Amino acid sequence: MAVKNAEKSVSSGKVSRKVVIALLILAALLIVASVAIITSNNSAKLIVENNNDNSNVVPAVESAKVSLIINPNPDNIPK
Amino acid sequence: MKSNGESKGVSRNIFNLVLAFFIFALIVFVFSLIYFEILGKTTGFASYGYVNLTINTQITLNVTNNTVNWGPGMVNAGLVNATLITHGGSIGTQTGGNWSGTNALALFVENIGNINCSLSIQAGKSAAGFLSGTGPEYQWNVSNAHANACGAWGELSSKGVFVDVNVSAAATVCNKLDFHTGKRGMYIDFRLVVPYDVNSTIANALIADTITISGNTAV
Repeated sequence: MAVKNAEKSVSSGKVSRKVVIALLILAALLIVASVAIITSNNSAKLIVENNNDNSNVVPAVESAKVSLIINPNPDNIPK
Repeated sequence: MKSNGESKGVSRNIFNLVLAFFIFALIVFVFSLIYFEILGKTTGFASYGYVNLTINTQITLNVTNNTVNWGPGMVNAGLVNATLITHGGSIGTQTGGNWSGTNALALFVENIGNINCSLSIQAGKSAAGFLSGTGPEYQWNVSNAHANACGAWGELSSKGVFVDVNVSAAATVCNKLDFHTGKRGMYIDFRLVVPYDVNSTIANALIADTITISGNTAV
């Protein structure tokens, strides 16, 4: 619309100041919208942060058993 | 009569500049729509897309086989001792007595955490405290159950070789035990030399020693 009006005005040799201002505002809005699109997409990146801080590692402690029963041998007289 | 705005119109050159700027802005706008695929999205503009993912490190030991149980037995007549030895995942063997090695398999320790860890072991009793009698021996050795599970050996004297157990302090037998599946298991084998003349207070009774197994930050 603004461009159409501008063409009409141009035919007289001079262009209406309102038309020029309207074009400037539209252009500015388009630039702002473009910047918004670009920045919003740039920030939509997956940032993986691995806090590999071994100072907070809790030691693991387990227990196990070794067991047996020793029955004395009545005939056990060492030779 | 013309309005002031029209009478004070701008020149054709300035208009052309403004028009060029407008066209440039239009091209940038259309390009950004196409390049970032905004038109095809149902969610519209994303204000931001920051994902903070924190992975906590954890050491967890799993002692799958946690008991070496020789059960009852005696030293054969005429001998001064019997020797009982575990063999990894195979049943234990003995000479000089009649113990059964069916339930005497090595301790099997796995690092099921998500980082490498060190492995330390400590016995609760010495040979004399555990078995008593004349010339008792209580030893262990550590080996890889999974190939290359231990990437940096600690006390080399216990790697595949029986040495006396540590009682006063833990022995760090592996400095870097892997955590990946199929590469994180180790055996702790034991060798007991049971004298024929054990103390009467432990004869015929179930005697046991507790092994403490610790996993800490890899060295």
